[in-house]
Amino acid sequence: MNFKHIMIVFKKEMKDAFRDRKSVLTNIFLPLILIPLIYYFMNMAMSGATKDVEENMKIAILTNEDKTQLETFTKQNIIGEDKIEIVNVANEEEAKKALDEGNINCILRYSDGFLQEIENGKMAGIKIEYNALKSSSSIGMQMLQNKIMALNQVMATQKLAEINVSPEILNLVNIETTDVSVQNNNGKKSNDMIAMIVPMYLVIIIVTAGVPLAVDVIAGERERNTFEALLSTKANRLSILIGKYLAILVFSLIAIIMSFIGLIIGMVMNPELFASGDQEMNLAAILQSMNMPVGAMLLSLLSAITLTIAFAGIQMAISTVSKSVKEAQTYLSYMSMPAMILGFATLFMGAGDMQNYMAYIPIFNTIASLKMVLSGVINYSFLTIGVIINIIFVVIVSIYITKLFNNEKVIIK
Amino acid sequence: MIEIKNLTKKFDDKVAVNDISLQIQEGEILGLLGENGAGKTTTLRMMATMLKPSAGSIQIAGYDSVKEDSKVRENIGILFGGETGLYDRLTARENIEYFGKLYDMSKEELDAQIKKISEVLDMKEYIDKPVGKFSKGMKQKVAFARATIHNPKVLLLDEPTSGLDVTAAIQVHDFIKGLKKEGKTVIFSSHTMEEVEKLCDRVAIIHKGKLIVVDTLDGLKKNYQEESLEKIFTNLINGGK
Repeated sequence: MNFKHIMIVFKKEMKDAFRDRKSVLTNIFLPLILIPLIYYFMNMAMSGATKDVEENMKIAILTNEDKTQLETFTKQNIIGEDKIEIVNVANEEEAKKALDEGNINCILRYSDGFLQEIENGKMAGIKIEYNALKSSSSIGMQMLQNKIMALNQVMATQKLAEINVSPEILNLVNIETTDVSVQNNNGKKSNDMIAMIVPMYLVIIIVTAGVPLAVDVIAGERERNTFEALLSTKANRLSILIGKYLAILVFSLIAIIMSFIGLIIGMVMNPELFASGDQEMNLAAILQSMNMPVGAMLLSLLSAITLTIAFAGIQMAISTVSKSVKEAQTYLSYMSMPAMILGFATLFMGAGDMQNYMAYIPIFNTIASLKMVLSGVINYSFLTIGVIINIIFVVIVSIYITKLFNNEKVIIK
Repeated sequence: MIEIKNLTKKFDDKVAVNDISLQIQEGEILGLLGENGAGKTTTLRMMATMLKPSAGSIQIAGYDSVKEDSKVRENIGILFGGETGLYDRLTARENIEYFGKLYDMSKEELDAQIKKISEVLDMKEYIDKPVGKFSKGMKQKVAFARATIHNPKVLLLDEPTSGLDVTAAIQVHDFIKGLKKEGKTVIFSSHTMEEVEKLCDRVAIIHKGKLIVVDTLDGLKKNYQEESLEKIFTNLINGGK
């Protein structure tokens, strides 16, 4: 092994990689723009739909009673100050057609003798008919339901007051929920959305980021007919191997950092997506509210770095055993599969659900470590086992790739 | 300059090179003739230290190809295949420099050598341009420069004209003649009789991994009483005299 030769190979591979505009654009700059854009559109779609219904809600009223009286009741007691238009319909058929075509969001159907029964303090019925296949109709139904429930509360309170009964009778059993994780972490809160998305996303990037370069440095080199010339130079195989390995690793790390920056930009631009509960909607407040001890952060970072090193080696090994660039690309396109499977498996698992034996599974342990740090539920023995397992993983991959490089049948095809 | 002793190479049960012994003198051009799969490329790959012999030994410039592989590589330059492999996104200079650096040449040595080679091969106009858009002829010159940048004593050329048009093939022939003038030892494999006749001092014919004969062109013609090398070759591999 010769350090000078390693650096010559490394520098050449980096220079070559950064001159490949397509690869640089796809792996380095695209995540920087794409992730904020995805979040922007997600946020826009989510808040846009609700806003649209709030501003353009239309309903129809169906009743066998005096329609004008019930319209007035609806405007005064249910709609209030909100922008909800009551559309005039001649009959039930017309109302259903309007609902089906999306011209109205919901139908309010009053039971017979509704106003009389309310007056008498008896139970009266309102039916909300909606179209579950249309999000605008579902959102509208939810809005109406909330308004009617609020009205119900007001009317019940009034009636109870009339007969001198305390409204507290409505809530004989008081239900209170307390999030213990908040108290265990010195009052710091976890952020579910960040802990759910970020670890899986980062690990998918970790296992795939080096793929373009890995394909190019071995399978590509062989296909270009430059590999034998390179192997016939004074540099020995181990130096060439390490130089190329380093290049894949550094390229991966740059791509991961760029994706991470993209993620941060996305979060800064769309804090509404990530703020949970009563949190303030800005990133600084969200981050400040999270509990991230330095030791745990370092361990999870080490877990992510060792996983990157191991996968750079696996990518290189696959490129080495492949007969052509196309074959290498096909095999390496499956690279994200284990990360996605394990990522989705942990998607709805809380950091508190992680058992120590799970730390023995590479990829899974890195996702879990990142999840722990972001949730503030730290299990140091899990984090330590995870890092040790990943280091063993790196050693196994390194031994395997060195053996591959010394196997002339694999190298010379 | 080169001494091959009882060289054998097996891939699993298949014997690709079978007990070849051969000596090549300094400044000599030896043509390796043989059909496809005869063992020419495997022999050259063992000489270039890419493959290890199953038995026997190779000494190049006094160094053993297994025990002193790095020293052997320092003394050889290779050009394998007619289709020139270069790094398209790098300039001609960067392509050549990369290899020069891997031969431990200093910056000054490299600059001087690149200047000299680019003048000899008439590459000055495009030495600093990316090779991706070069013509086949231009690429070939870069590959010649790359193979000789470290001033090796021995050149191993494996079918350097295969797949090339006439002009490019002539360029390769001129390159080999130039090497001879510089006193380099050249071994090149081919299945084109004319270029072997045109360039070689001696010819070695390999068939099914075995060295059938090695002699000068005149010696072959005299011994086999045949003027055409093609005929001699056909007779030999078909089991005739």
